Amino acid sequence: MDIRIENLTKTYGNLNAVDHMSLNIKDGELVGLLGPSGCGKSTTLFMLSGLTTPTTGKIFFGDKDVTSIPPEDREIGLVFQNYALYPHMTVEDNITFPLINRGVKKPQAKEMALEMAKVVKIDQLMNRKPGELSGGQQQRVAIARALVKKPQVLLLDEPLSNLDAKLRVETREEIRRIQQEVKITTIFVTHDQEEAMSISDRIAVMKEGVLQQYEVPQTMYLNPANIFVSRFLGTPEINNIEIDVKDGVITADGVELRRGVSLADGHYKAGVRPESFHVAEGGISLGVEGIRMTGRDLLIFSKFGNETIRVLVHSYMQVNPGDKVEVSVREGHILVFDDADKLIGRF
Amino acid sequence: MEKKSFKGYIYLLPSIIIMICFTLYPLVRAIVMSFLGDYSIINGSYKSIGFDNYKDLFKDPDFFKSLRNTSIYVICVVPASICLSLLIAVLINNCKKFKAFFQTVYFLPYVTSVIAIGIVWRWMFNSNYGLINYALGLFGIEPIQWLNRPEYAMPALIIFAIWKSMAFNILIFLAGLQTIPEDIYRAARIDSTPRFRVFTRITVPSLAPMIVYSSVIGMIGAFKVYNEVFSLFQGKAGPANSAITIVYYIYDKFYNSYKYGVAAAGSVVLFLIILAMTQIQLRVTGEKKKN
Amino acid sequence: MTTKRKVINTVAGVLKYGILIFGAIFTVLPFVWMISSSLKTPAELVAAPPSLFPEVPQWENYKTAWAAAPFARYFVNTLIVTLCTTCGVLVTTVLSAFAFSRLNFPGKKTVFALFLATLMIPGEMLIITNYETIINLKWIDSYKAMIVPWISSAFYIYLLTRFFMQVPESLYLAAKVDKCSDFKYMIKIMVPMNKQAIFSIAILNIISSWNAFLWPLLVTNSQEMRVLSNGLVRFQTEAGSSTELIMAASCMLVMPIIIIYLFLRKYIIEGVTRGGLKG
Repeated sequence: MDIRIENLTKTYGNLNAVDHMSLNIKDGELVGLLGPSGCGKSTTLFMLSGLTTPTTGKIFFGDKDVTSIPPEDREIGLVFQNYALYPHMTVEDNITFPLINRGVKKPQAKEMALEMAKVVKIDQLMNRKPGELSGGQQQRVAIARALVKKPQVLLLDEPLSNLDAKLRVETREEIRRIQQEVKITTIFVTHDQEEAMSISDRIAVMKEGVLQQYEVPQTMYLNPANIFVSRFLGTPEINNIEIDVKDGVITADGVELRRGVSLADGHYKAGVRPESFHVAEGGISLGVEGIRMTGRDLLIFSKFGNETIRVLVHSYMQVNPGDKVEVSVREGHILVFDDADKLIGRF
Repeated sequence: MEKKSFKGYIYLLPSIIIMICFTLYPLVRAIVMSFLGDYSIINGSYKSIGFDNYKDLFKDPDFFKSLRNTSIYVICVVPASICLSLLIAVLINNCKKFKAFFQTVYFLPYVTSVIAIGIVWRWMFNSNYGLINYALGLFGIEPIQWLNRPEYAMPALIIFAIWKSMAFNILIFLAGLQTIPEDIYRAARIDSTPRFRVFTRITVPSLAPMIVYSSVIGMIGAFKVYNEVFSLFQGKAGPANSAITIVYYIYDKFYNSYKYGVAAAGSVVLFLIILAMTQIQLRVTGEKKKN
Repeated sequence: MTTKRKVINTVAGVLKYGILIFGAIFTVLPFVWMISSSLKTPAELVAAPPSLFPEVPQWENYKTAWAAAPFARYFVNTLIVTLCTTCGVLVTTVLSAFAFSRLNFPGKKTVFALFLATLMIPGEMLIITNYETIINLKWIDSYKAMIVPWISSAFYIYLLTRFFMQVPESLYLAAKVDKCSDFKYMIKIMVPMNKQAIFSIAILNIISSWNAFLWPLLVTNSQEMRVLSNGLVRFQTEAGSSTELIMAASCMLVMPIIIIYLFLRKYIIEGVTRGGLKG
């Protein structure tokens, strides 16, 4: 089911929780709504579900305008952040609940529930109560309950935020697998950029109710539309530096970074990701102020101008605070932004 | 969710009907009735409109006696009951064994019919064969005419009432004690605080909200005392009306003397007293919330 | 030093249990005395010194008392009034608490405040005018006179609303997405999830209905309509000095509730505590 969002706005008092948002989602895609808390991502999800009524704008499922259709008739499955399982019912009763509400006969409902439970791998737990399940199991029950009625769209609100770190990685892969298996258009809300990038087909980044960028994860990471997006994606965070361009030469803090670029002379903001550096003899000389071992990489803190910048190097490299390292920036990895923070090029 | 609809009123309808018919209407009606002189509820007739009932009320020595008795009752029962309950609750809370047993025993009076157990107390207060006079006799105290002499009627009533009212207070205090974090007591112990100081400086201040609440609830309840009087004195208000209370006075005017207007006026006075108590409670709990 | 502390601790322990046991005896004494007196012979009742237990329990006292007045009828009446009132209370309380906790309707806050405000009105004040209402409705001497005015309680509504409000809103939203109507949500989700609280309310109401005294006394005239507490008081006057029979009759009123209490203590204590700590 294609989804088309047109000029969607939700106003609370004089605050625009969602501000003229437009988005097209293709059938069968998994889309992550990403942003900091209060950016309007959950409001968008709840408008898609029908639980929140938009102030203006329209939502289409396929060719059908669903803006004024109540949630129960929208053919959506919704998974809540706290799962919202009915605590006094067994897993089976929880999953059959939406079916029986829709007039499905009990034996058939049980059969459908079992089938769905097998997909999410909880068919062993049908007679347990939610309180007897782990967080990850509860999550699967919630997904099964959302999917059992064969909805056209699956909506997940912060599906992983109540799980511990290890379970998170596992569960997000599960969500991806289930989504691929059922082939359902899925939208999920998250504030975790890694989560969004790892499983989404596309990511929509929001800030203060405004859609910043809607892209395939890799493209978005390499070509962030603006400084906000560049900072929001990736850990450790991107390094923001000030650069000067004169006669096609980029310098920062008096150090030459690149030659032969086609940019008008002037002062710009730029971003360089920590992993965009590579160790190179004769490059920029950086004094090592601190190091953090992360496992795969070694993170080096260094003063560059007035800023502290972060540089990732291989973890087998031997450096200590006080040492000097010489690095250069990989080709095409200097992101240059204009005065309005928009990306104007990679050099 | 966001849309308001009148559907909620369908759910509320039964409660609202009952509330209007048997709470709001009678409230207004009682106030109106208190201004109707010589009102009769049989045919709705009345002779005058005005303050006659209130004048009668405040001319009646029995009414003042009922006010006086009720005040004595409140002043004796509430503080005594609170202090004893506090002691018992703290002791129960300190018990490692038998905690549930003591809790069960001490709560028994709360669920018991005042009428039935009042009859039992009446028997225990019996001046010739009563258990209480027998027990006092063991200490060489002469038999007391608890129920037959005006000067002992109120003490008998107060003893019975303290027995009855402790159950609720103990329960509330026990619940309150359980909310005091164990760590505070551990800290006090490490600071080698004497037991009594722990009680006065930690336990009592932590329970302050419950103590205030129990006091106000106890006072409101005590101002409305009736069943205790009725059962202890077998439907009378003690010898020579010596244990007459406000509510007893009101019912007597209403049910035995058919002075409906005066009874209504008395109930308005009672209402004002209760209202004042409730205001104190709201003020105090409001303060607590602010802090 | 340590021996001194030991002595203090022992004394404190003895004192603690001493006070508690003394208080417990004081608390249960009327019950024990009631039961023991109800099983004594008239001679044993007035014997000095009084004996704690009768030599031979006079079980026939109960038979005599039961036959001396229509206690069976009183018992049935009390049961009817108690059960009907409690069912009514449960229905109105669940409906109202659901409306206040989940539904959105104009004037909700005002109506809720009004319900709360009625808690300040002393019931004793309303009895006079409610009596007039019952006369005007010609309901005197009927079950409905004893039941209908008591089938709604602002206090229980307040109590249950607070329980219902603790149910996360997402459950309601989830049910909505699952095509569950408000009424069905109330019956299938809210009620089973709060069954313990509802059960507590039911028991508290059973106790207060069972023990009700003044109202049933006012609105009934005939012997056939009397409830136990009224019947007991009447019997007390009629039986005069037969204390053992009066005690047996008192037992009949008190014991059913005590038995309920001993079995369902947890719910009663929970209900009273929750209600009590509302401040």
